[in-house]
Amino acid sequence: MNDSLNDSVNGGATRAGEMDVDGRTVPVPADPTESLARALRRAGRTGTHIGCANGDCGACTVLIDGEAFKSCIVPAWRAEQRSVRTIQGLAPVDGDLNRVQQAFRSEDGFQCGFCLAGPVMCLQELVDGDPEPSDDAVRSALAGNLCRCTGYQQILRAARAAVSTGPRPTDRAPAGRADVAPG
Amino acid sequence: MADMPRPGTEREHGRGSAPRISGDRFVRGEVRYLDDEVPAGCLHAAFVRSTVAHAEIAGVGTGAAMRTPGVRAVLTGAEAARLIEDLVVLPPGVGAGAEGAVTVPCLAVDRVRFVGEPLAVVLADSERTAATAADLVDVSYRPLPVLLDLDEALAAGAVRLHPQLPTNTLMGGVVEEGDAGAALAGAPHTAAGQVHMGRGSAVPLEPRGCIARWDTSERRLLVRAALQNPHAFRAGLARQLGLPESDIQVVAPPLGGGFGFKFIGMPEEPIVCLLALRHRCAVRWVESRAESLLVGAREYHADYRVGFDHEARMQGLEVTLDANVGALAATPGIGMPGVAAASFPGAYGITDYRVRWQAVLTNKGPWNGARGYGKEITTLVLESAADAIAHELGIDPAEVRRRNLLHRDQLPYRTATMTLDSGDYGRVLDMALRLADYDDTRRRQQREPNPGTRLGLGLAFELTPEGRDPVGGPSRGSETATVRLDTTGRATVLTGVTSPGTGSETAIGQLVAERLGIALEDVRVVQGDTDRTPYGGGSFSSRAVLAGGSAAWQAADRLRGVLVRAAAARFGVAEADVEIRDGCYLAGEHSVTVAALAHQVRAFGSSLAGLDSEQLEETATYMPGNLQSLPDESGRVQQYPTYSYGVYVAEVVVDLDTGVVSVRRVTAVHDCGTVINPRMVDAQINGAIAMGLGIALTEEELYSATGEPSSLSFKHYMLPRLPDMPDIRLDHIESPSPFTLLGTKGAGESGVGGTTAAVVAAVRDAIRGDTTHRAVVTPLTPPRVLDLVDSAAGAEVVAMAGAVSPGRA
Repeated sequence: MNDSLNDSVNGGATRAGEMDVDGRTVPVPADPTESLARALRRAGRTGTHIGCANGDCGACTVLIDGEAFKSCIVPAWRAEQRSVRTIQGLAPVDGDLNRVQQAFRSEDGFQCGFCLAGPVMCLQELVDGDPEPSDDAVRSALAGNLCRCTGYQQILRAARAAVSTGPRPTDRAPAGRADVAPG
Repeated sequence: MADMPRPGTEREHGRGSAPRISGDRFVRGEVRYLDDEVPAGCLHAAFVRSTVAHAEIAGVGTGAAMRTPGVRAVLTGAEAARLIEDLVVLPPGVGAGAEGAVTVPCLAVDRVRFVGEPLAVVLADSERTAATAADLVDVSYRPLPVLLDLDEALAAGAVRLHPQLPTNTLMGGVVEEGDAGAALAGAPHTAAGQVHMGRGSAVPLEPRGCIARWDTSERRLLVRAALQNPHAFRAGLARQLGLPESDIQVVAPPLGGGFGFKFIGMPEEPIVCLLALRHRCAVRWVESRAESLLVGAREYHADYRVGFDHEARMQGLEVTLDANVGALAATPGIGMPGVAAASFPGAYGITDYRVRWQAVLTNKGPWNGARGYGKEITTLVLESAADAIAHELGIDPAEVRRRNLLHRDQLPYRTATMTLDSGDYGRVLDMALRLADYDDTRRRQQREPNPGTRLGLGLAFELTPEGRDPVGGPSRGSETATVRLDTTGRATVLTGVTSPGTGSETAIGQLVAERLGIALEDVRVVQGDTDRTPYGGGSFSSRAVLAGGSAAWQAADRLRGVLVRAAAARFGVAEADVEIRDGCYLAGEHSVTVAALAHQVRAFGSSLAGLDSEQLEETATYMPGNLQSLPDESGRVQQYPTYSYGVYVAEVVVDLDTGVVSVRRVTAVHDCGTVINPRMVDAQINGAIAMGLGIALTEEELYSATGEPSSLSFKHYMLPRLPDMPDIRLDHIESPSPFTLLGTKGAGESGVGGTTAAVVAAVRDAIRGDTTHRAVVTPLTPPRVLDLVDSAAGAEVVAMAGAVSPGRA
């Protein structure tokens, strides 16, 4: 994770006052104090959970222009004209799971599932940048997330399975964008 | 010894590491937890909480809050007390010296007893408005003495915290067998020690929350609440609000972890329901992380004295166990100290022991349950005593366990409060030592390359009584399940147990799928809905599969009988000739799908020869054996039917300069009887090991001298993270319980106490020197480790000064 949101805008299709969320254009909330996590959840992206609202647990992790952020401590306005990808945007709604999701599915890389956006999105960031990361890189990518159920063992197993699996068609951002109202 | 008919070997077919039911929805982020629901037009509740630890409430000014735009109502404790009955902490006859029941109001009326105690509630259009207005409620206090520690609360003349109790001891008792005093007096050796376990909490990642609304067309109160026990919650709520139970529906949505933290009995949910009822609208409240960290569990102080002979055999044990349970709460959490006491003397076969315990009220936050449920302090005390014996006699700690653990031929073994069911404790000990490379690690300790760090090795035996029957409470240890089959060949299981996020519904589904001869994908498990599921206890004491799974298995077994009869009638063969394979019922050249059989039963039923009035639905209730729920003629009570156990070995490195402990490896060999889904049992142990690490090293809810909690975020309450985790080695044996239908025992709590005790032992082992005169304290934070290091060094100097020949400098 880093703090590069003051860098230049990536030139996405959204206009001022909007952000792209999993391929849909969503208005940025008027309230400058609203966190991105809350804005995403109000826009129906409830797979992004809030476990602490303090940047500690990572259950709210999303990718902003490909980089993982804890969205509970990112003001929503900082995602203006940027592309936000949540756990619900990793695979088409009725399509196959992507590589990371499939690994967490088949390895039971979760128990209660509340923290799941954390490890899944951090790992997604990692494999997007390096399809074959080292084990140290995998462990490091997951260090910022809290999980209370698994002792991190099934998460690590799933992560290792994800990085040892070849890329699948849905690994990158889903194709097709539609300007629809948040719902 | 079996007191139940045992099913045939076909149960084997339901076993295996099937992945989670609904796993697809989880990894897509589509599972909807409580916080994911926001009813249109709902109002939001925010609680006004005490800012002082102990005071009389002199006044509650609500004017400014009421004038805040968007605020709909402010309800004070005094007003609420007229509208909703108190929570019942203890029924009559249980509280120490109490006359009648011990109760607590949902909102404090005239006195607050901990920082964070709710004393009023604001209802507003938005969460933010509610929170802002709650801050505007002006509460004036008349301070009272603050009692934070056991000594303060128990001191003669200490202010009484609760008018219904003559002292600050809420409950207490003695668990004993034989004559501990005489045994200790006659023992060749004795060792004594102290154990302090810091205040911690279960801390699921999802906090609690509640959404309630009044349905005007149905005239019912509809409640969603992140709770482990929806049926029991409904019963209590009906009493508190004066409604028939049937006028209330409670749904527990998928939980983001429970671990006992979401047991019922806290005040916020009933207040949210009261607001919905009064204002005829939807009301929503979701707990903040800081609010959740007000709740505690497991703060203990124990003194023990153990007698033993020259061969290290334990000959008597005395324990005093005091629990600082914080402020009064109506949760099952206050039951943990009693369970801790009743879990002595573990599996050590001591015939003369005496455990005096008490639960003491203070001005810290209240307790709720926490995985381990008291058994973790029992393990830590017993294992500390075993290590003290090893130190005293100069023999290896593993040998002390080997010489004292009950032999498998002694099982079932009866104590004052338990009947240990089955297993092979010695074999599991040996397996764990081998898997941990114990002897090799001991040798490695002798050649330490780095003088600034030390390798430590600790082990612990852990006994985990599971599947409790809390007789007299809102539910029993039994469970009921209904299994329905439909004409598409799919089964629906309605069960009274809930899953706090463990995935136990998958194991229940596996049992039903196997019995009916259908695929796991064709089973839907419905939980947590008081309208749809049979009455049940929800989730506690690792009984989802043990009780809930067995009930579902029985119901499915009856349904299987219906299908076999239908198939026999269809084929014109004897029932014994019908086989079940690959989703079909077969006999010779005949074959029929489950869906077709279901259609046959539904469409023709008793009009066919061989069938009576069977339907595609069966219900069964299952209660495990090996219980003495009510006192027998000698007054003996046994609330736990199964006794899982394991041996835990921890290897740590202690930095002598910084006090930092790194846990290199934890090895566990575990026996919870018959395993239905091995991968999920492993997952439980893994999670428990992480919790044990947290208790041992990092997790603690701290308070200032005036009672302000100072661990209200994850920056202060330190949960283990991935880099903190050791290499974990797991193995199992399966010693089926002779007392349960499927041979299963509970598998959800093992590892918490075992890991805690093994890690603590490993740290003390690493420090060497004589630390036995120092109390065992958790969590072993760096300052506490350094303190132990200094203490051991001091002891070494003293020892050297008295020695004839000088040792190393």
